[in-house]
Amino acid sequence: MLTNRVSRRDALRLSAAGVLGGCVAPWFNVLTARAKQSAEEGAKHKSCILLWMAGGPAQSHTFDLKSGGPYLEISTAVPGIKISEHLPKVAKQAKNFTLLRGMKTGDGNHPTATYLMHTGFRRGQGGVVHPSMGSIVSSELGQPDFDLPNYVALGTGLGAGHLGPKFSPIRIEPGSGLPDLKPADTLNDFDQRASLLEELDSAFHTDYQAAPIKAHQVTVERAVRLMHSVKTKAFDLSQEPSSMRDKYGNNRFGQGCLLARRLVEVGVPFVEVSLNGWDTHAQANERVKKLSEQLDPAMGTLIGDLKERGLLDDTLVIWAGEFGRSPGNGSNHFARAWTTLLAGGGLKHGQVVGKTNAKGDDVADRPVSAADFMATICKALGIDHTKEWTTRSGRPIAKVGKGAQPVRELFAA
Amino acid sequence: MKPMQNRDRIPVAAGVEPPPSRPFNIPVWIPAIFIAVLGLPVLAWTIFRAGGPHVEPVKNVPVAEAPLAKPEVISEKPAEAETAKPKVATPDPKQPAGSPLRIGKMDAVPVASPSTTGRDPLTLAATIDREIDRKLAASGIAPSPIADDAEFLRRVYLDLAGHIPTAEKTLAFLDSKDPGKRSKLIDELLLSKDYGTNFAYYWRDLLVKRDPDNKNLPSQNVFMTWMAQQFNENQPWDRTVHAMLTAKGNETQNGETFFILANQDMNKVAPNKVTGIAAALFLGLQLQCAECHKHPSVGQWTQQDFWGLAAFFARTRVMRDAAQKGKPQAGGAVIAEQAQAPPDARKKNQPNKPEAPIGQINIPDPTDPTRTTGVAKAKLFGQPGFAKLPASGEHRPVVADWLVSSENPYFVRAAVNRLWGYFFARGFINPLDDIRPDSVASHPDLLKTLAEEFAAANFDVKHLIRGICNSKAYQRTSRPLPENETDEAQFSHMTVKVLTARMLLDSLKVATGQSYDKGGERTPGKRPEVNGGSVGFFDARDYDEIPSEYTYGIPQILKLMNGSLSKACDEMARKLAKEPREKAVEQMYLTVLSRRPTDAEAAKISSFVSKQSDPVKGYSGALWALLNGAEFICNR
Repeated sequence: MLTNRVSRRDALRLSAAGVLGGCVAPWFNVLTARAKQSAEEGAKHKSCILLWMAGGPAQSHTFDLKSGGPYLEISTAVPGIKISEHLPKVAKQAKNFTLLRGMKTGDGNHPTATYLMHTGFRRGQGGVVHPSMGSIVSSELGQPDFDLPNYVALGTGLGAGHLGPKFSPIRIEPGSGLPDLKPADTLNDFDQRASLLEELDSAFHTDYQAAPIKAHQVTVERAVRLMHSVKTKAFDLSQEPSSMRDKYGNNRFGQGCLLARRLVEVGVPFVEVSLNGWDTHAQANERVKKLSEQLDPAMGTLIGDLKERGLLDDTLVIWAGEFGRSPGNGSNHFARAWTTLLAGGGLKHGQVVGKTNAKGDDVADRPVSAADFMATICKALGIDHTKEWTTRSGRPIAKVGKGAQPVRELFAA
Repeated sequence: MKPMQNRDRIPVAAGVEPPPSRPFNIPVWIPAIFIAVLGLPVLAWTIFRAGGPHVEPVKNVPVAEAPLAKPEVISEKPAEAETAKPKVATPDPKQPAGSPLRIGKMDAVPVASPSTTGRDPLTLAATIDREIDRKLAASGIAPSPIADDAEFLRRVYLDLAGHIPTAEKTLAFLDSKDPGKRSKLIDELLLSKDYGTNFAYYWRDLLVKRDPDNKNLPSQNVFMTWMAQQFNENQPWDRTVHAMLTAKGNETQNGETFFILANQDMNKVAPNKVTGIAAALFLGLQLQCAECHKHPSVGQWTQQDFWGLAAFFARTRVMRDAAQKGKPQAGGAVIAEQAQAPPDARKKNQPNKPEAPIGQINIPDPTDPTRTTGVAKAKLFGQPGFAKLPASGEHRPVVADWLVSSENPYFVRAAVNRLWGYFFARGFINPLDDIRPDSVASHPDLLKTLAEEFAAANFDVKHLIRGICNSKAYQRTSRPLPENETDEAQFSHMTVKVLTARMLLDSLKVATGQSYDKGGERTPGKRPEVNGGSVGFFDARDYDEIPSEYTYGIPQILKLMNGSLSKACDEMARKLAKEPREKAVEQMYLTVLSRRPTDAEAAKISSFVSKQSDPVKGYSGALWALLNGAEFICNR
């Protein structure tokens, strides 16, 4: 309805306007003081790192090995849980994660399954584009006046759908940091120009009183604050000792995981890091081994590093692709029985939930659907998945598909 | 697109009859003379309607009956028009003192080209104002005064051409003493190529939903050329929509195929997407809410209504035209009706899923793609019984004929409501794509009148735009009065809109002479995205965003503030530094904000420049502040 849409938007405008409040000269002192304050307050919400395995990793070559397969199994830190021989560092963290071996999602096409596993919904129904995990977290947990972006994607990072572009990811590469942060001249010269800009905008607003003028002023103010913020150092990987950079692995994925940790540390609620190449239609044995050499140090170090810094209980780490691969040689797409992994986030870990049958071609126990998976993530992060959204046309949209159940074993009674 | 290219060569009414001189506020006796002299019954009802609210308008004037009034006949009567030259608006005494803008006289003396069917846009403008003013008076809301020339100039440039005017154009317009300059400018802009391009982009953004299936649509340039042409040649709107719904053939040749191609699901035409978007954009109805179940808030809209429309598109297929030597169309996607779906090359061993009989469509289970929950027979929305389908298998013309016909009450209403919403950032009914049986229009009579006028004018889009842009309602300042600052629905003052990404980049180009559009190639080696490149980066709007919604975020503002714009400012500053201070500051304002500075502003800039180590640095910083300011990024 008209009223719904307008009032929602008007409310947003009002809240945006409220951020600036009575902020007058000396502008930058106020900004600096506020930046300092928010730095001291730190993050008060949970965060999430999604390690996205694009292409569909073979469960038979990673976390659900069967006897007679190409790889050997190794023991982990938890007796009874065994994983691939090529994931020794991850094995050491088994007390901090849970394997969901009963993934049953029913979609074996890359684009639609990528959508399904990012949103919990099938694509293309009812004219709605659903928000991806990162956008959901950004809208539910992100703070509107946080210095840094609330959703950073290094790789895949699906969009915000009906939540709107405000909650879209900022896509970056690990080495390049946040773009356009440095002024053309000096920060001092910039501040003088920005003060003139602020004066002109204020005068314009006095005359025209319109919401977009205020919104522009607020956005400029936040951009300037970001330029002055110490938090942007989080994007600078050169601040890490080289020993730490090496531990994560000197490749795009390893450095991406390190960046994810740095961002979560300063309060970014959602970071997605992709590792491509899991679509192993041929030579799965060699290719998964190579991929494991990147995955193992990065994920193993990430979980351990978060633990050491006391961040693991507040950071949910997800390892997932769009589907698994057919049992045996891991050549084909397979969505009937596959594996994902959840670590940290204050959940009950050191367990395996769900089981595939001996051949690995179906789930024998505790199937988990894409919607269940999504509900689990929401619950772990403190997001009420049963609540509906209202789209701009006043249409109610479920956050997670009907009947979705969080994986109860993960939540201590 | 490149707004710079055409702007200097705008044919000022070249090859068109000289615009007839017409009164703006038409006294009752003028139409009487027109009617007596011209004897145009259909024109008469419009004018009478404008002249006196007690006259009932003719309902649903069939298009074919609208006679062609001959513009040259009208222009034989300039004497009457001259004598009736009224001043439409004078500076408002209530205008706050010390305002930075000089509110000049609004000297718009009526000159505007008639519609293709000879209908007078100024009569239409007067009709609009009569209704808007009546409602304002009834609600006790004082309207803001008419905008000064500079505010009008920048607004109408952005709204019609999609970019700001050059400093030279601005100066010429501000200094022109021609009382008809506003109407002439509207005509001039409607004749510029940028008009068609601007509206083609507007519709491209609406037709292409931000759906992962639409990431790459290779034929978008073909579509843009076609759509811009539809607007520039002023093709009737019903024909344009009809062409898109019934499009056939190769995408590299037929731009109208783009609409169907932008509604695919895994490289197959998706009848549900086509239906959902066609209903939303061309009918203003959210029928797609009835895709999986009956509409949650409009109980009478059922799944059968939705899928009954979708059934017309059930046999529309997309095929790849195999590349062949000597055939220009080789390689593109081809749309055609086919009883049998072509076999899926990727699933050689699997037969295609069984389809419903011809003229019907399977309704899929929303929770399980492998199952269906029923079938729907082709049925026109709101019409009794099922549709009669031709044996040829060409079902789309049936639904398209109905959709754009006068039997369909939704089509015209949705079109005029949307066009009004484009200019005023608010339709009579909102949201524009969600009109429900219980929706209340802010101006029901005006909506009805505009719909009737649009139909009677043979869906002449330029005519409707001329009527709107020549109205006082459109030409009011966006500066609110204390008495009307809370008004959002009565059009007492213009709404401040926000430049779209494309308008912003094109306007920066006009102001600085440098291009900021880095093209559609975002990822090297990949096909250009539909809205990629710099425009894609700056475009953070929601789908079908309200034009007054500010959507720029921190990344976009950082790019503006710290990107290549600073260098352009330095270059411009070097030229300005050669001028006397006063002239340089004026030039700066004309170039960036399309107006002269106030004395206070000139003093502020001058003092800023003086404080810098050298004038070039000073001017550059001031230009930077103006270009990054809210006044530049807004369409006031």
